Amino acid sequence: MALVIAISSQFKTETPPDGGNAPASIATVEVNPSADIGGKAGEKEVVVPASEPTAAPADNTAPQTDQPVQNLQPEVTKPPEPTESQKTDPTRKPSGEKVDNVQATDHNNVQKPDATQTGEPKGGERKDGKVYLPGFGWVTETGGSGTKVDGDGNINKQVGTMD
Amino acid sequence: MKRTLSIFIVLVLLLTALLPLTAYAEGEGNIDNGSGSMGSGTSENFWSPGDEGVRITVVRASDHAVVTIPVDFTNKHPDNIQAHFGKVSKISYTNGFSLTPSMQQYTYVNPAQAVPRIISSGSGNANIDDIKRYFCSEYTLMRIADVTGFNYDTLINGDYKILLEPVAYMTFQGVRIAVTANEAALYDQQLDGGLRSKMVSLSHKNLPLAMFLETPDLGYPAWSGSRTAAASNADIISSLGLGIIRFSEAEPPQVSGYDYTYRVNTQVITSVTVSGGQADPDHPVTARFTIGGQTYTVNNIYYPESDSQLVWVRWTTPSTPQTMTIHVSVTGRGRASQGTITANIVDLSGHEPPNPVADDRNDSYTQPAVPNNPQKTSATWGVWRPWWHAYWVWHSTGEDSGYWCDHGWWEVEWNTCTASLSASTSVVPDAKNPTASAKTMKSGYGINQTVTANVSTNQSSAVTAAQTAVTYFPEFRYQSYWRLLERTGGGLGTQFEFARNRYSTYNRRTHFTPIWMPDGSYTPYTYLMDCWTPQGMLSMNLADSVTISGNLWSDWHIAPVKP
Repeated sequence: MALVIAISSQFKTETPPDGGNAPASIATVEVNPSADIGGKAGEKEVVVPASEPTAAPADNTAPQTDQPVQNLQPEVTKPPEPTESQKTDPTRKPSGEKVDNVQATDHNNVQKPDATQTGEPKGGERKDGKVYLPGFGWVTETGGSGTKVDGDGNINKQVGTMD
Repeated sequence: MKRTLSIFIVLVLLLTALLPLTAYAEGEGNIDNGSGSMGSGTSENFWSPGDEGVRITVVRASDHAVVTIPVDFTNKHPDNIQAHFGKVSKISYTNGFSLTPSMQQYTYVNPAQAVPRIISSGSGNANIDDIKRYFCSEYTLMRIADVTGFNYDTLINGDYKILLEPVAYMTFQGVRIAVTANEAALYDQQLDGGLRSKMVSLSHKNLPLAMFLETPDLGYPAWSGSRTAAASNADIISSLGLGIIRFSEAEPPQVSGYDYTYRVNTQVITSVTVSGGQADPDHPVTARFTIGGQTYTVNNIYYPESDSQLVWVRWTTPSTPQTMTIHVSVTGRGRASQGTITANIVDLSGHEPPNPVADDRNDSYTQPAVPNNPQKTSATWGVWRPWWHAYWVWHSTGEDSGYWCDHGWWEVEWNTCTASLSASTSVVPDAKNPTASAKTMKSGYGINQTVTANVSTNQSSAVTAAQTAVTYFPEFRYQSYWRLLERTGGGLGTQFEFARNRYSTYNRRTHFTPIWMPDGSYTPYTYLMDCWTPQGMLSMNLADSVTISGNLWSDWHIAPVKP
């Protein structure tokens, strides 16, 4: 508020110095009638409606603004159950994978397998100057290099602060 | 014989002292909080105590801009680093920089005065006071100035701060990598938890907890969570693995007491972090936000064990200013980071400049500096998406009969989402100005402004357009009076202009420059905001100028009265 008052006090309603020198008795003032210099107080404002959206959404999910139920992402479901014939075919898994010699396992003795063997290269494997980095694939094997630095300055003199 | 045994014992002791201690890491417990054993591990995943460094970045205090390429200080010679993610600071990642393997050699700096231990381990704890003394010392700051090429006196004059981040040199899945705590969390997201599953005690505990803030600064909060337990990726990215050297006061804490400040009649997004257990379609978690008597239910929230998911609701603020309390509850095994959120709803309208008068004067005017508010032009978040990992097992029901049974499980994968705000503004003399030429005009006439904003994102359902643009003017020292621009476009690409000016003879979308404005540059400043994402609001500083030359009085001329 003090700032408003301070700024407001800077505005004075004085006549410009040039105005005092004008030979008023012999002058007419011509003003370009189309120039807009303000001063028409009190006119009603015209409201312009916003135009239609101009950009299409980047994904297929519509915004859910103000909807009582909002989903963070589309519904996720398990794959459909295979048919009875698919379930009882010992030569092929319901996923379609061919099986040569099916091995039966007791329902209560099924153990989660170790990490799936995907056939991907092993982490750290090298090829053509690149190394296999899990999550990113073949990347440039960079190596490293350092620089030793020393110079002036007191290690016991505290300049900055940390907290 | 006794003499031989003594020599043997001495040799064993010497070898024990000289050989580096290698800590193998595999899963939980390989490194405790600095006081226990290192556990066991594999030769593909390990870290040796002392294999560490500190990433150092000079940051401008006023707007948090990164002003130097980060450098890594270390006592080691990690020439065997095979992969790293470049010299990128936490601030750059916060601003939306994505984790990308570097193709450049990993470079490091060895100060002659050794860096104190940074990361605690079973072989010894780091001492935070030693770390502070070292990095706040004249010697170290001079070395930082030397290697960054930054003038030392400027570095310590109070206009800049130094961001520190712990760096670990570790072997993960057989690859020797260099990562900051922030990069380790981002890499773990990329691997859907793969780093955490192998190196949790380092990557999610001792590395991120090596440094955190006690006083909020540079937009990062003080850490009030556990100092001994492994942290989630979200907590590491938002709050851990950083220290700040300053040469002036810390930024004043926000004393508003509000979690959010929104404008009236605005589409906004309110978020909390939900964690606890694993959430998948078989173990659903639902969040409920109660806002102004309306309850919004958010479904399909998924995340893996030991991690979290940002959960948000998108709603429209009321038309009148008020303080709103938002209650958040979570069903299922999850819990929300906040049960209560306070939102301040404000109205920016009604502060238009007063009617300009032709004989206004301001002889003491000096041109003020154009404001430079903190801006955030991009945001990154993510959504854990579950998928069913089928595991078909054959069960026998007889000699030649049986059936396939699915013993599969839910896996979750991390999908990174980003939003980026871009905008420009143009200020020109009003078309009704009779003597303007291009961007030059006489004072006293009006100007027009257009602001064009666009948001690019890969999850438009979670991002609003920039909905508010406020323009401030130099004659009011960019305070006191402003114009709330009118949005003239919709969707994620929007345009703004001045509202029609009630003092304009022709009802123009204009702002009148004061007639006393001295010759020179006239620069309205615009703060573009209310582009909401689950990671908060995007905003941008915008400015453009016209040149004032002369004033409106000179377009009036004096002539003799015709006889």
